[in-house]
Amino acid sequence: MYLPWKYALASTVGTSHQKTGQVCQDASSCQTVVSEANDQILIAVASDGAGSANFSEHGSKLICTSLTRQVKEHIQNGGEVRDIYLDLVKDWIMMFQKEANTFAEEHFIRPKELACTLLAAILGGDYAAFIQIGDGAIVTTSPEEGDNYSWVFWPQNGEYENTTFFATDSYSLNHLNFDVYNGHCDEVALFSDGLQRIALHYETKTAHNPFFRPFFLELRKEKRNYSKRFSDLLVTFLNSTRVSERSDDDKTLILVTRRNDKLLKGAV
Amino acid sequence: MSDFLEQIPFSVEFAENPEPRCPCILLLDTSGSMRGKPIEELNNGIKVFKEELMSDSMALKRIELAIISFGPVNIEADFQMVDVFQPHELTAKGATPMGAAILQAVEMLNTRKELYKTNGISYYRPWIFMITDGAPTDLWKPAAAIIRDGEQNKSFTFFSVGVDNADMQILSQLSVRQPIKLKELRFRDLFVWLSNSLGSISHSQPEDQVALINPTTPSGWGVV
Repeated sequence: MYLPWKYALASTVGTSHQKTGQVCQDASSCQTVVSEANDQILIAVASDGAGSANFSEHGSKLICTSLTRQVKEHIQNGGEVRDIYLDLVKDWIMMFQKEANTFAEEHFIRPKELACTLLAAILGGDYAAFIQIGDGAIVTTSPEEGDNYSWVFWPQNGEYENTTFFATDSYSLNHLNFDVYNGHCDEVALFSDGLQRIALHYETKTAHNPFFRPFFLELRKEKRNYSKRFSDLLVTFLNSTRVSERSDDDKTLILVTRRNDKLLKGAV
Repeated sequence: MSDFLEQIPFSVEFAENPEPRCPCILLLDTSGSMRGKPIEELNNGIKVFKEELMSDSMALKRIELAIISFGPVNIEADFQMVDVFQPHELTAKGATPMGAAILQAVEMLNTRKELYKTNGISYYRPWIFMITDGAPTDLWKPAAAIIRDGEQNKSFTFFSVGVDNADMQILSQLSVRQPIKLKELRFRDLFVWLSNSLGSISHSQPEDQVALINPTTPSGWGVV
């Protein structure tokens, strides 16, 4: 039996958006659900609303709730993480696109104005599923890998550094990254493009382990499933001068662990 | 607990500062016998160390500090630039696992060197600077062997300083360089010397031989 999931998450508005009085266009969510096989499954979703789209903060929120709801339905209908396959994920995203279109119609805007990326991790005991459209990244580790984190998909850029793909576009299914990992991912981080230059090492194309380790060391000490205190700390971190000096974009960071600090000491 | 946030290392640190690095690990005995005045003076000494280093702008870009305490072995600070380094109060308790602490220090140095190499950063011969007031309570022979190899291959320089009742006999078997006995509790002078020495190294070319000020003159902080 595995330990329960613990998580913390934060999305904050970047300094460039603050100056122009814009709201945070990133959104994030984390929930757990128990499967029929009595597996506690964690669903983490992060989304970066496009800066060029006027209502993308609604798009990013919508995709978080829509995807979380559909994954929960899958689990509540007896599905497990290992039963998630590419066409099912495509259905989920098409359902989101339909919902986005309805939202756009109701508010007399074009669906393009909701443009947003998608990062999702669905984590069970023996399987983990990862979904990505656009930039940002997910990094993971397993008990075998200890404190060495690796990325699942490298951030997707379009032709230019400042362009990417959006889950709201119907052609985005061509750029969908999806993978099911057969094994126990017990620590995962999801983050939007505002953090990718400091959390990933571009020259070696690796996850920057020293960036992630201190966060997880602290998160492992938490007693609760959801730590409000730790999430508040993440907000402080994302808003700190050190971070905003390097990126003025909106930022999201979700951290998830199943370890406790006793296990850690045993491992080291 | 929010202190750790200020020290989260970013992947861009080498791209933003491609200066050669001068890594130094302080290996500090925090066993029970350091309680009272010694640990207090040690803590003050570390603060002086930071202040001294902060006044040298070249050293600031090049020196990276890490601190390992032993009694038990604990990484107090992983390698970081002097300006983000925040000294926090060390407390004295426990035994003196000096051997394990030395192995940990060498391992951390190797990891750091790998990181320099993958980032194309050149570096100076690293320093391990150990301060102790006792004798190892664990196996120290493997540590002595690793120090001998390290000095021979020039992969690091190992200094040891004995405080008060330190077992200078074992220290001289452990370290290739002659251990230095601290006069009274002159940690402050010791750390000013350390800061100046690292400073002059960081101003040299990575391959240069640097003459250090002899700390064992009558006015110095140590005796042999």
